[in-house]
Amino acid sequence: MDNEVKLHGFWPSPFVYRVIWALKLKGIEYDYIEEDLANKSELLLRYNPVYKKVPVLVHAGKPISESLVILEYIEEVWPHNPLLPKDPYERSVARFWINFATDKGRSAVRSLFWGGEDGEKEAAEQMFNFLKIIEEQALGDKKFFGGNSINMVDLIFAWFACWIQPMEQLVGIKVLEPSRLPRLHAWVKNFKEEPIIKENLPDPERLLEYYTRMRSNRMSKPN
Amino acid sequence: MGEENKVILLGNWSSPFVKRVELALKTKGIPFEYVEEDLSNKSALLLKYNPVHKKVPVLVHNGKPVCESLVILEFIDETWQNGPHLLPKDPYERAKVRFWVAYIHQLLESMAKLYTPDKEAREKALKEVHEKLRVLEDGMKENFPGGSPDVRAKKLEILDIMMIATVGSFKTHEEVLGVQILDPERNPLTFSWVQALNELPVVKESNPPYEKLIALLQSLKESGMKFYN
Repeated sequence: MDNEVKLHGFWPSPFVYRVIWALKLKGIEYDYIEEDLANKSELLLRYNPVYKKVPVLVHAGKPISESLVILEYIEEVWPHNPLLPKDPYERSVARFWINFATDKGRSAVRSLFWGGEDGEKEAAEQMFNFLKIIEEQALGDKKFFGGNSINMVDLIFAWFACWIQPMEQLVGIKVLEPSRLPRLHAWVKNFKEEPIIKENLPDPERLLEYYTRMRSNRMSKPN
Repeated sequence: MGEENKVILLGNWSSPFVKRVELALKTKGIPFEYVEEDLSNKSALLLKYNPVHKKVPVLVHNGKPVCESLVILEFIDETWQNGPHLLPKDPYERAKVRFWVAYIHQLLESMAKLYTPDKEAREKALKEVHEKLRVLEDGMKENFPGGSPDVRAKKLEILDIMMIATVGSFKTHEEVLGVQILDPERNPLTFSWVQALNELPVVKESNPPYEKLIALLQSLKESGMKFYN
């Protein structure tokens, strides 16, 4: 049985990028398969029958779904260039922030960018409060969430490095303001300049075009 | 108890999230001090140990707090390596288990939505719960190729713990809401698994008092208050 690694993905997805970065940071060779989410492949539906989503990692023919599950798997199978601390307590702190970004982050994003104009101000405040907690308690004075080098927490928060900008442009609200969130703003810059990360970032114009289309589709649909 | 390896669990009797941690500690034979929190009047200790969420459970190990039930379960399994394991050893098996742990967590979120005075919202939530149980039933068939899980001899693993904490008290929800949640004909594997788990002494002794839980769920249904915390 070959040990081939395949990744089923979709180019605008930050969840897919997390996996791409993890694989590349660990120097793992893989085949990438671009999925058209409007026309999902048979393989994807077979590999992820529960959610029918990307990313799906396939290792030696065995599929793994859900980006956080995939990242933990990659970390365990290829432990070199670690993305999580060794100490169980430090790991629990990293996982706490990953969980926080996943739960609170997702709902903050949803309210602000897909919530519609009513309550936009509250949504923006909610997003700011969320980011303030991250800046003060998760990042602190460190260069990265992982300390001097990036780790899994950075990969999860990367949504705010690249995907928040087109959203900000679309709704006309700047959330990640350098004066209000200086350390987080610095982190965005540092993250995007990291080797491997900088060669693997989505094209900002293409992203903006994609989100513009998505947003107008969603907003025009009656609820 | 000596200071080294001192474990404290801040919890609440009604919380399924706390239940997960309690069962994990008991199954691994880890001695711990339990502190009951009044969620309407949270202690200074809780606010200090979980400033971000201000929620239970919080596990305090040697003075250091660990928050979020699923994060705590992973921490427990990594810290106490001797004795029974909550997660399998093989990375692929671990990935499969983590996938279903996350799914059962979502099932609990759907069940919480049942507690609303809005009839239409409740019906929608019930459909969601039934659909998730159907997916879970199919997904678990792989874990129990024999068809019926025999839990009597073994120690609880993380999926057993998640099942008890989420669906274990299904009868109380059915009684309060007047609906059927777990149908033995539509979900035979899940039903028999839950029945078997509920017979275990460690589960029985960890169950909240029936009438007390019914009263709480009744008031949640009427007020539409958010489930826990």
